[in-house]
Amino acid sequence: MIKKKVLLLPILILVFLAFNLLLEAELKKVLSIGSNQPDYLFMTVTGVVLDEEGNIYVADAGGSFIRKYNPEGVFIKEVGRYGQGPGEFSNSIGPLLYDGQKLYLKDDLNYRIAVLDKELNIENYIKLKGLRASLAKIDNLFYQISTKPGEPFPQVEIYNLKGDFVSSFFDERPDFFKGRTFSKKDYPAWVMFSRIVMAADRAAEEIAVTFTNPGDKIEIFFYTKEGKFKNKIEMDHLIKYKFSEFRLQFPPKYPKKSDQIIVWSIHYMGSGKILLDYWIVRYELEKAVDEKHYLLVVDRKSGRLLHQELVSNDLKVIGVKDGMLFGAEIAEDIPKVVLYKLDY
Amino acid sequence: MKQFRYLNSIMIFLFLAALISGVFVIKSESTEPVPPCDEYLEWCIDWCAEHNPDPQNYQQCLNECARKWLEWCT
Amino acid sequence: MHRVVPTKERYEKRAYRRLLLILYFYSLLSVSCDKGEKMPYELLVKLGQKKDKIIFIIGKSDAVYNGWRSCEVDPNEERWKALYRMLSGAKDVELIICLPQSSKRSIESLPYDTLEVSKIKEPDNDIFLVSKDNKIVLEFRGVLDMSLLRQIYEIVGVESIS
Repeated sequence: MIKKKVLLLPILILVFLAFNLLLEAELKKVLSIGSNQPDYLFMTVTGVVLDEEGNIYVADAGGSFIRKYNPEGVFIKEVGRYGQGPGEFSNSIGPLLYDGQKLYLKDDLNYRIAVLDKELNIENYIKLKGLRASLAKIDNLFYQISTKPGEPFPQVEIYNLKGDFVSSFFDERPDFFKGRTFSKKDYPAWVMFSRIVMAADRAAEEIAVTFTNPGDKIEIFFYTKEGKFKNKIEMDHLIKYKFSEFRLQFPPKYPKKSDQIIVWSIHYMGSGKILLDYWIVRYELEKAVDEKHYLLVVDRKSGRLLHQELVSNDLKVIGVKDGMLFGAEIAEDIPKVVLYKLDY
Repeated sequence: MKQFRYLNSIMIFLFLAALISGVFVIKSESTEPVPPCDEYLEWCIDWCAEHNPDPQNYQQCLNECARKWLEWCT
Repeated sequence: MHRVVPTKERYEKRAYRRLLLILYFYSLLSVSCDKGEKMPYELLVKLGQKKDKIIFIIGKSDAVYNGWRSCEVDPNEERWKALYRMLSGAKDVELIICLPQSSKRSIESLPYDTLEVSKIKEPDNDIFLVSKDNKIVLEFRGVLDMSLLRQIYEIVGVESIS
């Protein structure tokens, strides 16, 4: 009996240390690209993807271009300039997707998706209606967020590879809208605060949707690739939080103190985990006096918070894949594309 | 009152010049597509998210979107 | 549902009316007053005293934008920043001075080699004039995208300002 206890103790200590290590795991920067040289100069990065060889593709809305770098971050090629013609992009491009050896770049103001090969040759364009900076793809279907006709609420539209509309889904509202009647003058506020973000898991053929401005809890809704509702998970906020309803009037009348929580983006991490780009902002009147930027790792099934990490406010999370986080940040006044290893 | 006659001719000339130049202004092709009112607000909100990763700037940008939308589209 | 109004048409009509009004008042004012220089010549000389290679970016402070696109944030702002960052990293550039359009006359007679990038119209239709040794070496109408930035860089970075 005593022997057993002696054996159990080091195991318990090891488990405790491993658990602590897991909680204290930090983002490890593996690559940073960006300087004031033209091949490495960025303006507004809106898309970053990696191919199987580790080559990095970057879409930049400010400069209307897409670039390819090798796995070490050495410049290979750039294509695009501002315009509406072939080989040209608007200043509202992104997201950038990589699937089946092809790159898909949403070009909002040109109402199309540019399909490129890995050498950045434009193969074709897919005409697409809608001006929302959102795009996901599973197999032969595209997903884009739009606004429901005649309503201030969003929905997810499904298109085929030719750009033909297939169907739409998502009928949820944040809890603070429930029981309220929509009046036309509040339209802008309702559009703003019902905004959603989505992510696609190609392996599980699943779409996850959550509200940018959550209510009392974070709610994540899951759908099949055909848009059929699967289930919903809920999780508590990191602080005691209630959405401030003064924001629903425009212009808002700010109280002395208020909080705002924003879920900037949602990503599938693999192994049944979801990553949320999560902000807590404290306001004094209309001025933000404190901003905390977290990455939250959530269990896909239970909604349990597995890990939280406070990260730099300068980090803009763009994508997550195979244990890597792709983002953009400004360091020493130079915009950079950054790759972090996700150790959790 | 002769000078008024001149003024009249000048005014007519100015009006015609303005009309012709106005046609050019309206007909001239913009190099950037502009989102129409039924798409502007949603597009602007997403634009804000893309260009302002900091929430405070994002919120200010959103308010600006709403202000412009109310000013121009209602 | 809210009204669907073609923005471009609506905006341009309003803009046109305003333009006419502005032109009218401007013509009234211009006959009686001369626009004052925002930066005195002596200060400009002083700024460049210890530098040989200077770039003057003209027009940024006087930027006129149409107040509609991109939430009234000048969509060129990030591009101007990029231009500044790029030029500050280019060889043969020791100092970059951004000046309003009204200061243009001051630098024309400066005893320094200058390269001027003029931003004249609204952001989607800017006219960029890059001049070197009082000669226009690049004229471009459009948006300051990466392709134009590269062209400007070529002029500054590859060919040195003599």
